[in-house]
Amino acid sequence: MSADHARYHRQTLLPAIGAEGQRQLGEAHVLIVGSGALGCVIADALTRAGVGRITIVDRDVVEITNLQRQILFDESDVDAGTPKAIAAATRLRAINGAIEIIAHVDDFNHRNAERLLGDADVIVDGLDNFQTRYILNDLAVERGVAYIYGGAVATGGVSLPVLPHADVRMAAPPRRLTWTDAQSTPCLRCVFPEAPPPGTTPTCDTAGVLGPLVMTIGAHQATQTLKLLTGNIDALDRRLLSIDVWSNEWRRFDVSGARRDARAACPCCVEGRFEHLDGSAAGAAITLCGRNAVQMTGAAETSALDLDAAAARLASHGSFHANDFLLRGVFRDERGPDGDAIELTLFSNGRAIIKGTTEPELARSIYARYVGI
Amino acid sequence: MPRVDVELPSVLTGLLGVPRVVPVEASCLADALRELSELHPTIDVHLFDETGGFREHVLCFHNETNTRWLDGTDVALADGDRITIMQAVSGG
Repeated sequence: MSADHARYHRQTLLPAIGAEGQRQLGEAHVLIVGSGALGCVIADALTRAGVGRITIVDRDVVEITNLQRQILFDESDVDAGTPKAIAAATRLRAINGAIEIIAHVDDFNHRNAERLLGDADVIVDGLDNFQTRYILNDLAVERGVAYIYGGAVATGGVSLPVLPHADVRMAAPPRRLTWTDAQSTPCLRCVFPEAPPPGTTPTCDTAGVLGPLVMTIGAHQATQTLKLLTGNIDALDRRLLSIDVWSNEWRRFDVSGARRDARAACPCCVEGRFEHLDGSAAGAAITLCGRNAVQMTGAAETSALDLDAAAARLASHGSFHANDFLLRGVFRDERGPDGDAIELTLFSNGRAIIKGTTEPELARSIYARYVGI
Repeated sequence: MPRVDVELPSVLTGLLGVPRVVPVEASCLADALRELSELHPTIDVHLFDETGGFREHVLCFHNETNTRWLDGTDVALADGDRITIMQAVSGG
């Protein structure tokens, strides 16, 4: 028995995969955006399964608070301040040296999305914010690439597969992975047309997250990906999965009518407007000249941000106080590139000034994790 | 008056200290949501926008039907119906 044959033997025994499915996996390319908790689980599973090329994109550095759930990292990565994409790639290459792992230490955004996609067959979502998720959704629909959404916070999570309809797809070289119109699904914006306004949805940094939850959601996303890559498209779970591992609830919602039945046509997969991918919907992150600060304005403003509630959610991360107009405080454990403490000023319409850095990517990350977008 | 259960997203109930399932008495969906707001006003800002409609990242199912695709919330309820509210989840 050859080494490759032995490595995948227990998987090729499965009739749905077999030798042909294993060959298809070996020729496949998967893009994983975000190498946090979900991204680690997904990358680990796909690496062990023998997906031939895996591209990982992440902008952050491994921190001690990640180790509770981000399974590809250890204390040496924290001590060395290793970027997550690099630490993940190192671990994945040690698991399976027969496949190619490509790591990008970068902020995934509308400017680099198409370059980073390359010839990937499936985009898998390991993100922590909606702004970037909608870029992935636009990219998937425009290029005709499958996209697997997943999200997890506290003890609850969701997952949804997107197999875009061909109607608004740009002329592009044919992809290896194809599906029929009947097998197509609504896109993420058909089901969730707009991102939550800032401060209206919990984040892992404010509400916490249980390690096994992300393993459950990530495992579902990885399984969906393996089904697609081995041509088992009809085995795909096409429903919106919603689970809570603490209250033992598993629900699957039929959203197949979302595209057809929506009262307003989906701007993305029906009208072909890719406003997240072309950058026109992006919330602005503007470095404030001479102030060592970045101003964040959300893509969707809110007038209803409860500043007292936001201050209470942030209490475990530093000293935060709210008045009728704004919330202000300093994070205990967040530092800018020069070691300056990070100070947050948050206004009730969602605008924020993040002081202690001039880097828009860091400001966006702080905003996504502690305010929520 | 029909008695129905309103099931709320667990990502919110834990954070806000609100029960996961709220039993209400209401003849239509709109009344059930009004009753929910009166019983647990802290959840309003997370579910509803300034017009009183569901936020775009929130879904509401009446039994198995997504109510976003209905013409409104004037939907008659029957004893034992289940209203399930769920939302997109950001973290990962």
